[in-house]
Amino acid sequence: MLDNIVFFSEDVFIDSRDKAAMDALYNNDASKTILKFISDNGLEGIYEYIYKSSYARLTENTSPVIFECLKTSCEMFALDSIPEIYAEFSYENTASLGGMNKPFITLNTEYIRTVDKKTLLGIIASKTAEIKAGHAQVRFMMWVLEMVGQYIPALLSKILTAALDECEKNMVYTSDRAFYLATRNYGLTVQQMFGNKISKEMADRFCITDNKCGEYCFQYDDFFEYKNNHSELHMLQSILSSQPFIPVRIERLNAFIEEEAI
Amino acid sequence: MNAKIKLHGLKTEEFIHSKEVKRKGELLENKQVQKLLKELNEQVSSFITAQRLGKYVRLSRKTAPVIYDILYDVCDILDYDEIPELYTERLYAADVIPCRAKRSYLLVPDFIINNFDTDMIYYAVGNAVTMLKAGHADISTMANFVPLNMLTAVPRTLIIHFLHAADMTSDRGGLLACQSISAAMRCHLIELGLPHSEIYNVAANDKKAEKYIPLLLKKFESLRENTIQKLSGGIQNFTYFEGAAAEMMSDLFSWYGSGYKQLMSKYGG
Repeated sequence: MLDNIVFFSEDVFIDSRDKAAMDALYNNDASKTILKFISDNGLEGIYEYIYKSSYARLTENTSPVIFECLKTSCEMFALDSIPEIYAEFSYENTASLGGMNKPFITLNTEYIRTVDKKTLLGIIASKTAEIKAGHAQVRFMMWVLEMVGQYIPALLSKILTAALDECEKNMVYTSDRAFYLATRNYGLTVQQMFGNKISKEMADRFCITDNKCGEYCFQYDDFFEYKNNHSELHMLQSILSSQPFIPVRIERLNAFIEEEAI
Repeated sequence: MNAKIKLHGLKTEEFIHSKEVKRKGELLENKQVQKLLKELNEQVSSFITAQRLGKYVRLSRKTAPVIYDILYDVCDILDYDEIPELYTERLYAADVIPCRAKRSYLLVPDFIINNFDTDMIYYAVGNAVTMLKAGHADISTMANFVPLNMLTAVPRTLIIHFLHAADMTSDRGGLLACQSISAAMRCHLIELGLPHSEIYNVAANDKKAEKYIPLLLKKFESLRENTIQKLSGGIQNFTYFEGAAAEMMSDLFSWYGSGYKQLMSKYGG
């Protein structure tokens, strides 16, 4: 499975919306101030202590399969060094990024326990690509804002949070692309989009194959029919979740695959 | 699992909790509540639809055959014609959540799908279908959106007070659907925090549950002996959306010995 590693350039795996949002963020004075505040006050050290002291660090000896996936992913997305990887005890099926200048990956125990090797590669690849795309900094800013938000003017805090939330949504598209590029499996990529919602066994029953959403098509169509008649949907998405709606993610992935084929 | 008796012709009035009847009257008479619910209904239906279509995953007979078969059977048992859609998401919760905003659907947490036995699923789905049948879902759906401020304090409290009583009725509906007191109690024990692997030690079957539950409830009753404890129970009733799990359990268990048995014999059990 991990033979013939292909290298992907940033132009390929970073979604254009994500890139535009990240560029806008990094060129923004408020972000520069927050990043400087983080560096000047040693906040990364505090964060690292809080989180790393609660997680189990995985190594080549404890988790050879995870490490193999991590190494492969780092080659695919040309990371300079292999990031640390941790396991977190949680029911949620999620993987996340921590740290800022030295980002690390966290996998939840349920994820590790329930997914197969290929899915694991996709998950780790998506986080590795996110590190390369500079997402760790944004996520770190979100954490800092969450911590200090109550001490700064409410309006400023809300504006910054809204801007970062919007960035976070666009990051998901890059993450989805990376999952697909690493696994080259459309069905698996779509399945992991609702991996947080349903079991693998049930996801398999949706029969999602190459470029077809299987049983999910009906909901996908209903969603876009509703979206076309309700302009407030974008605003609702912002309020409802830090992630884009599943049908929107699928649509974006489909567009990428078509673009790649051309 | 035993074959279930179909309660064709069953009306909510036959098993509604007396407290619900009283509190529903208070709710309907209060103009502030009616205005608030009407306004919310208009404003949040897009929000709920967006959540349903974009965030949750819709299940079908093909993707979730077992749950769908149970849903159809429960609707038949409780004589409810309108089969709701089913959605799921990853959620560590022991209740199926009914929702009605222009359209009815049930949100089934993946925890239930992966951990509940068949009779427990009957109970959880039966409970939610009763909330649709009895009209509770119209109010519970909107209750989540009632803001907490001075203007809404009174209607909010009345809604919470009503929902506690409504939950007692829907628990009865759940029991009528699963027709197994042990399954109903297993669901409540999970809500009380007993590990999933241990619920069968005390409520594997009706006989075991009938022996164990009174002992458990006796301990809970001793918690409400003095005035302060009674007062704290009252505060909980007016502030929390969910009633105290032990209180709900106690109410259902006592109905099992009276109203439930009468109803089942009426419908041929």
